[in-house]
Order: sequence, then C-alpha cells, then structure tokens
Amino acid sequence: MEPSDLASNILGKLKAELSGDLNKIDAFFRARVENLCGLAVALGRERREGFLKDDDAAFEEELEYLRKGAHLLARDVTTMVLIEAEKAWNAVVSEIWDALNSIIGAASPLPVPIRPAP
Amino acid sequence: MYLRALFHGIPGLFFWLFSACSIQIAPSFDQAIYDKILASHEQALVLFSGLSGCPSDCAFSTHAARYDAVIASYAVALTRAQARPTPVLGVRLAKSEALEKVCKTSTPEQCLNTVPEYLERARDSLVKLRDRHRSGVLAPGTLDYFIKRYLLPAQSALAIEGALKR
Repeated sequence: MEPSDLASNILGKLKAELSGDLNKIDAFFRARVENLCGLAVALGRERREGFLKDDDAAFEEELEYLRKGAHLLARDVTTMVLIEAEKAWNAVVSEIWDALNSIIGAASPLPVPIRPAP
Repeated sequence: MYLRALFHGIPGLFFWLFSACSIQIAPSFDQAIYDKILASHEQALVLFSGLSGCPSDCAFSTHAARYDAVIASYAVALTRAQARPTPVLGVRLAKSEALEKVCKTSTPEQCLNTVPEYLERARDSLVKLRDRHRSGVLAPGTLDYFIKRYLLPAQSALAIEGALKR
C-alpha cells in the first residue's frame, strides 16, 4: 500500500465516521436550550401566579435545578465532542494498524499482530 | 552504526506502540439501560396523558399506582446506570486542567457520565409532582411546570445514552 493510499483511506474513514455527528450535537444542543428556556418561562409564571408565588424556599430550589441543568448541558456537549474525538482517533488507529499488519504480514514470517481491543 | 539504527528505529517503535492504542473516554453504551429509560419515559407520558383532565377529573387515588410504577422504573434504570464505570481515560481527562471549569461541579467519575444524574432528576421531578398532587389540587400551570421539569432530564438521558452507541 502506498502512503498516499493510506492517507486517503484514513481521511475517507474519518469522513464516514464523523459526517452527520456534528449535526447531531448541534440538534441536541438546540433542543436542550429550548427545554431550558421553556422551563425558565414556566418557572417565572409559577413565581408570579402559581404554586411558587409565596414559597421563597421552593423557588430557590427550582432556580438551583435550572442552574444545574445548564451545567449538565455544558458537560453533555463536552462529552459528545470527546466521543467524536474518540471515534476519530480510533478510526485513524484502526486504519494505520490494518496497514501495518498487511505490510508486516507480507514481509515477515512472524504471525501478524492482532489489533488490541479498546 | 547500531546506535544510529536504534536512533532511527525509536520513532518507528513509538509510532507502532501509539497506533496500537484504541481509546475510550466516555462510558460504554448499555442497551438494557437505554431500553429501561425508554420504557420509563413511555410510562411517564401515559401518566401525563391521564393527568390532562386535572384539576376537575383528577383524584390522586386514581393515579397513585401509575406514579409508583414510573418512579420505581426510573429507580431501576438509575441503579443500573450508577453501576456502570467511567473509563479510566475519561476520569483522568476530567481531572485535567483542560476540563477544570466544565467538571468543577461534579466528581471526575461523574463528569463525562451524566446519565445517572439525569435519571435522578427525572425521578425527582416525578416524586415532586406526585407529592404536590397528593397534597391537594393540581392546577394546570403546576402540571405544565412539572412536565417541563421532567422532560429536560428525561430527553437528555435518552439522547446521551444514544450518543454512547459508537
């Protein structure tokens, strides 16, 4: 295998692995922000005229719930981006490993090494 | 000459070792957890549909069994999700300076494993709705608020668990 073929294979595999996934992260983020905003609007309404009108402690608790929700969203986006990095890394590694295996397998009488499991 | 050959061989050796390492940062997908979240979410939607007649046709006793079933179902999903480990690399990354701000409100084990927290929050929302319903009249605005409060973690848990399927 030529080095240029290996590079093309790696790029092809990366594109196949990652295409569409960034759109999924974008859609996830937008949907969760809409959820958070919807909840914030409902919280404001309940504070004005609903069950939280005269209950300061419960209102504080619900504000904390909303704040924690925003933190969790930040962690989720980080996790999803890292999953993409993980996929990209593993796609590249498996391609290089397969190429090395085929080169060694063709040139050496030694057994071909097996790709380690993640 | 041998030294030179060795010197030239080192980058190749590193490359070889490097390319042998597949990585895992986030937890593994668990079909049983995903199915349990989906089933629990379905039960919650059935409960909300039954509560749509509130406050006029909305006696707590009519819905008590449904509350219990869905809350217990989330507790089962939560137990299983809490038992799933975060990969060592994910824990190390969460401890690193790069993720310091993102992970400051959680433990390194929890930071890149948000599903258990979401399940806890979904269950907590249902418990709060049940307690409020049991203690008196459930106004439409209150019901709407708790449905939104529930949907945020429930939909997030499903999306994140789905994203773990590589």
